[in-house]
Amino acid sequence: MNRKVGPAIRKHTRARRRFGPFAVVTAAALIASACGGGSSSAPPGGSAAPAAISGTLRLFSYSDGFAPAYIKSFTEQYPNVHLVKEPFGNGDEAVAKMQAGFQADVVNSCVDENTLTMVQDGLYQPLDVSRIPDWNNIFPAMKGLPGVQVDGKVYMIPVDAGTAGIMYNADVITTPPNSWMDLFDPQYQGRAAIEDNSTTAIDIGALANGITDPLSMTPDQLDTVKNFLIAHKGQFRTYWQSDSDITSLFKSNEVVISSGYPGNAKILQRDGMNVKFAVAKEGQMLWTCGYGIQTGASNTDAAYALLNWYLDWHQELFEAKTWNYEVANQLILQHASQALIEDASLNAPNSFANAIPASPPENRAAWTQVWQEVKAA
Amino acid sequence: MAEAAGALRPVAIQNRIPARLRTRRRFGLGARVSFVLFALLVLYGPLILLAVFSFNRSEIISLPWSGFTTTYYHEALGNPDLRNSILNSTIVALIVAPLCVVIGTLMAFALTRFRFRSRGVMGGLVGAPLILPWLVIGIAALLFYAQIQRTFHVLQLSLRTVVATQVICTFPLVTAIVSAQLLRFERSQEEAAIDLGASRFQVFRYVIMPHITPAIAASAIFAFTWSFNNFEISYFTGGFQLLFPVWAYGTLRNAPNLPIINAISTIISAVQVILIVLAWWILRRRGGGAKAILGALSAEAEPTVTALTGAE
Repeated sequence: MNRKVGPAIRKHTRARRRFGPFAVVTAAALIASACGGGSSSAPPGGSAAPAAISGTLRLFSYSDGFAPAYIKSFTEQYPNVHLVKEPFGNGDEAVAKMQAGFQADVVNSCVDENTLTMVQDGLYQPLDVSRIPDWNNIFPAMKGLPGVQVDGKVYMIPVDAGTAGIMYNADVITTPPNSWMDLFDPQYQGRAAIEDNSTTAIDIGALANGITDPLSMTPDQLDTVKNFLIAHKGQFRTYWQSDSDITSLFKSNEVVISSGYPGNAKILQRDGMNVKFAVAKEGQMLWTCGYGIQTGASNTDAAYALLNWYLDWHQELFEAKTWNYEVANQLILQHASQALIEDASLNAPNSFANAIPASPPENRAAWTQVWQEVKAA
Repeated sequence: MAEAAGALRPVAIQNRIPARLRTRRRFGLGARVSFVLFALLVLYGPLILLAVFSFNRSEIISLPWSGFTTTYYHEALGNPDLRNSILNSTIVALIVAPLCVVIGTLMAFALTRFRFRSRGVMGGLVGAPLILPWLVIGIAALLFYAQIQRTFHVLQLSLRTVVATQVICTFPLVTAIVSAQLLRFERSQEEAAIDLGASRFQVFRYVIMPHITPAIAASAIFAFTWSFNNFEISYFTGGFQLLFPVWAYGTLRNAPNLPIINAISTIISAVQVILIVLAWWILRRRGGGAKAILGALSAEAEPTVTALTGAE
C-alpha cells in the first residue's frame, strides 16, 4: 500500500480541481440528456373527422397490434396522428411496467391474462361507448368476459379471440384426437407436448381428470392435478413456450401431438406439413384480447380513433385472414367468405359453446406454484 | 555428408523419445485440437445456424431444408420499425461508448492514482452496476424517471433516458478495464519522464496514453456492444423510441417473424465482424496495437473488484 501521504494529497487536490468542473459538467450533461425531449399533445376532446385528429398517440401492445401491414391503414387514415409504439412480451410484464410509471394512451390486454387486474388496479379508464360506433356490433358473449365491463362500466374493447385445442400430425395419428386425455396416451410417450403456461397446462390437467370447472378448483383438486401432471411428466418431449418452438418440434417430427392453437397448425400446413387442429370434447380454453385507454392518457381523441379502427370490420377481416383469429365484430360475418368463416371459426363467438372463458384463476399464485413444482419434478 | 547428418538428426531425436511419451504427446495434441474445435463449435455454431436458416425458404426454423430464398432479407430491410430501431440503437451506442470511455477512464485514474478517504466507497459504487442485474437497474430507473415526470413535468422517457441510464451502467466496465491496465503500469516511467523535463501533459500524451490506448480501445468496443445489445435498460427507459433488442423481443412472439430476425441478426453480425476486422487491421498497421488490445481484453478477466477498490 502506498503511504506517501504528502504527494498523494497534493495530487488528489490537483485531481479534484481538474475533475471537479468535469464532474459538474458530466452530471449536468447526464441530467440534461435525461430531461427534456419527448413530445405529446393533447387536442381537445370530442369526436372529429380523421384529418382533425392529431398529435402523438402512444400504443403499448403485443407486437401483432402494430404489425406493419396491419397498422398501415390507420396511419393512412389518420395522417396527422403520430403513432408511436412499444411492444411487450406478456401481460404480467406490461402491468409491472405500467405500475412502475410507464404511461401510454392505448394499451392492449388479454382477458386470460390481466384485463381484470388492470381495471382493478386503476390502469384502465372507463370508456365512453357512445364514441365507439361498433360497440353494439360486438358479439354479446364477448362483452361479458371478465374485465371488459366492471360495475356497469366498459373498460376494454374486445377485438380478437381464439381457442386452445389439440394439434396433431395427421400422417402419424390417423384417428383424430377428441379429448385432452389423448395427450396422455402412452403410445405418444416422448412425442407429446403441452404449452408452458400455468393456466393452460393446469386447465388441461384438470379437464383430463374430469374436473369440469377448472377455474374454480379446490386446493385438493389442484393437488390432484399436480400429482397427475408429475406422474405423466415423461409423456412430454417438452413444455413449449413460443410458436417458434412448437412449429419447429412438429416439423422435425420430434412431436406428433400437442396442445396448441389453430394459427400454429396453419403455419405448419403452409410449410407442407399435414398437421391438423382438433377440439377437445371436455372444453377448450378461450383467449380474448382487446384494447383500452390507460388512465392518464393525454390524447383521448386519437385513442378512441385507434380503438374504433381496431374494431372496424376491415381490420377484423385482416386479422381473420392473416392470423386465423376469431374476431369481436359481428359484421365480419357479412363480409368474410364462407370458407374463411369456417376456417377461422368466425361464428364461434356467437355462443362460445364448449369454451372455457380463460381468465386468471382467483388463486393464480397457487396455480403458478403448482406449475413450477411440476416442471421441477 | 553434412546434409546426411542433418537429415538423420530428427530421426535420431525422435528415436530418443520413448514411445509412451510420443503417444501421450500425440494424444495430447489430438485432445487439444478436439477441445478447440468443440469450443469453436459451441461459440460459433449457433451463429452459423442462424445465418444458414436465414436463407431457408420455410418460416419454421428446422430441418429439412425447404429451399434457398432471400425473401426474409427483403422483408427485414423493408420493415420501417426495424430500420428505425436499428438507427436508434446505433445512435445510442455511438453516444454511450465515447461518454463511457471518457468518464470510465477518468474514474480509473481517480481510483488508481489518488488516495482519498472515500476511495473504497467510490470504487464500490462504481463497481455496483457491474454486479447488479440490469433488469433491476432498468425498473429502478423507470421508477425514478416516472417520479421526476410526475413531480416536475419535465421528463419524457426517450433515447435520452436510455443514454443516461446506459452510461451509468456501462462506464464502470471501462473503469475496470483501464484500471487493470493502469495498475500494471510502472509509475517510475512517469517519474523518469518528469525528471527528463516532460510536462504533465507530455507525460500523459507520450508515456501514459500509449500504454492505456489498447485498453481504452477494447473498452470502447465493449461499451458499444453492451449498449447496442442492451435489452433491459432499453426496454424500461426507452419509452416509445424503439431500440433493436426491444423490437426483436416483441417480434419473436410470432413464428413467421423468426426468419426475419435471423436475417437482420446475420446482417448485424456481419457488420460487427467487418468493423472489428477493420479496427484490427488499422491497429496492426499502427504497430502492435492488436496484440495489445488482446492483452487488454484478457485483462478484463482479472479481478476487476481489486482494480475498482484500488488495492495495489
